Amino acid sequence: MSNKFDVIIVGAGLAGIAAAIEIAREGLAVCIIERAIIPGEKNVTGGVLFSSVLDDFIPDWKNEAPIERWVAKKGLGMVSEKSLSLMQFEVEKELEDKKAFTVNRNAFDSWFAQKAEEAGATLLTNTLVEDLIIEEGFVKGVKTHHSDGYLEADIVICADGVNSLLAKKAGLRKRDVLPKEIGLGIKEIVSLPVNTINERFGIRENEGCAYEFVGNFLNGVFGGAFLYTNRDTLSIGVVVNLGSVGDTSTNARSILENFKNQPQIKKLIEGASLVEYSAHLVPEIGLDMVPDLYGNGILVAGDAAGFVVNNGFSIQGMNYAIASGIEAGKTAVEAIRTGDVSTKQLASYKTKIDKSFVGKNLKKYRKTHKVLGNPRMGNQYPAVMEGIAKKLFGFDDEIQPNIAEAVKSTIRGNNVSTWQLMKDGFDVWRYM
Amino acid sequence: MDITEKLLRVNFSTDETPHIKVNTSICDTTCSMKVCLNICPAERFTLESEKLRFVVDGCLECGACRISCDTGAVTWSYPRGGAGVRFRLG
Repeated sequence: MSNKFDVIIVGAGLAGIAAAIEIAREGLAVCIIERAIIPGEKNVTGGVLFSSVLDDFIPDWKNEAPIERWVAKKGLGMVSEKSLSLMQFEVEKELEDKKAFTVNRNAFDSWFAQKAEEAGATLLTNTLVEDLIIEEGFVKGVKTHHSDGYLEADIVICADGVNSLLAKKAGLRKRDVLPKEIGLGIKEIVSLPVNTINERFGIRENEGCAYEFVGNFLNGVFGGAFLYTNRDTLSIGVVVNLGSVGDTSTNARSILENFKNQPQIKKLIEGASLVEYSAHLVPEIGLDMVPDLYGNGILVAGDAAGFVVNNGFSIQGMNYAIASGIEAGKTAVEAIRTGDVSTKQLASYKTKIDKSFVGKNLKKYRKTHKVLGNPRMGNQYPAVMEGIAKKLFGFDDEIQPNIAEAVKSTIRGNNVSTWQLMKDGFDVWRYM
Repeated sequence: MDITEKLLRVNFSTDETPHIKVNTSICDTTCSMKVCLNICPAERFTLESEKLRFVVDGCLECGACRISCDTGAVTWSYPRGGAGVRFRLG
């Protein structure tokens, strides 16, 4: 293997592989360096992949890629100690269109990396990149942990994930990421027979569910829980804000246990046995934590760039990783062909990102985290929903109130003022 | 199910040198928060007779301690290539 490439990509996750495919297809020499033995082994998702981004990129992906289930039901639940209020959206058409699927990252990333190799990219696994080679202000390659491990390139793309140590070394991330900007995901994958999953969730073969929850299991911590169906397993987990866990001195692991023990959730996972336990960080606050995306001879993509968008109904990151990887790849190809890898030329990456759904959604939802960080979202509102539902559905043995009466008496009972409700409602209207 | 049982379901390829080092003398003298106890999903930080104990084996490499500890006690890097956690499903 030659020690010189046109482009070196650090990290064989979705961003890195997408960039490699784009570059290799243009006939340039590209190497992806991955610290895991197999691509995907270090990666964790919730995980639903919103897949429109793949349609043009890999035309036949729906027949080739390892898919767990196609998402046919999406739901948002508010859980109190004893009840669940669920807003569910179920489709047939979208299932035919196949817009989102649940995924096993080990299998998916391995498949995706194989696509890059088929396109002509070199994949170097088992290799940790320890540092960047920087000469006269330009990134010129990477230093790996191997004894003779210097690899040179005209451009390095950092796709090294949420803990991107390289973006910081390159001076693109000017300050340390703060705990309040990061979510900690803790996930259990539990197994159940395929038929049990189909019956319990009311889905057919290959159809899947993706549910997100908030509620008092969070103990006042800013975050949420999720439950997704895979083929013969369920992914159940929580994402909790690190700053909020610190401020409230709440145990992050116990939040997942609280959630699993909530009666309506417990029914859904009953009899399932643990197959794998995992954890991963999630860039959480969107645009406000995005570093400089480019420098002399360097670009940043995927989680390393903080490209995750939470609009309050779904958290998306993998599709943003693929899209940003493709744009980074295009930028690298143009720069190498013009013979200019300076910041001036690479600035077109930022323009491409800003024009794409990545940049547009990051901008649009830049303040959503402020709404979701509102403590009433996890504490009072699930109880308010429970109270209103009980009254309106007639669970309480009393003279049945109308909607206005039910809302008024329930919010009062949960220490929420009309003013707060209006203000919070207005925030939802403005930012979500 | 306790954390040890959960971690038994995770594959690891062990590293000879620990990728995270914790200077516990800082934790035992100047840190009152000990946020590490609450945030580490693998419960690798524990208190034993009021002394902080850190065990790197079983680390899921999430980086929560790297970001949350503000005392400077945690020196965090990735394990060498090929070492550390190996998620089968992720």
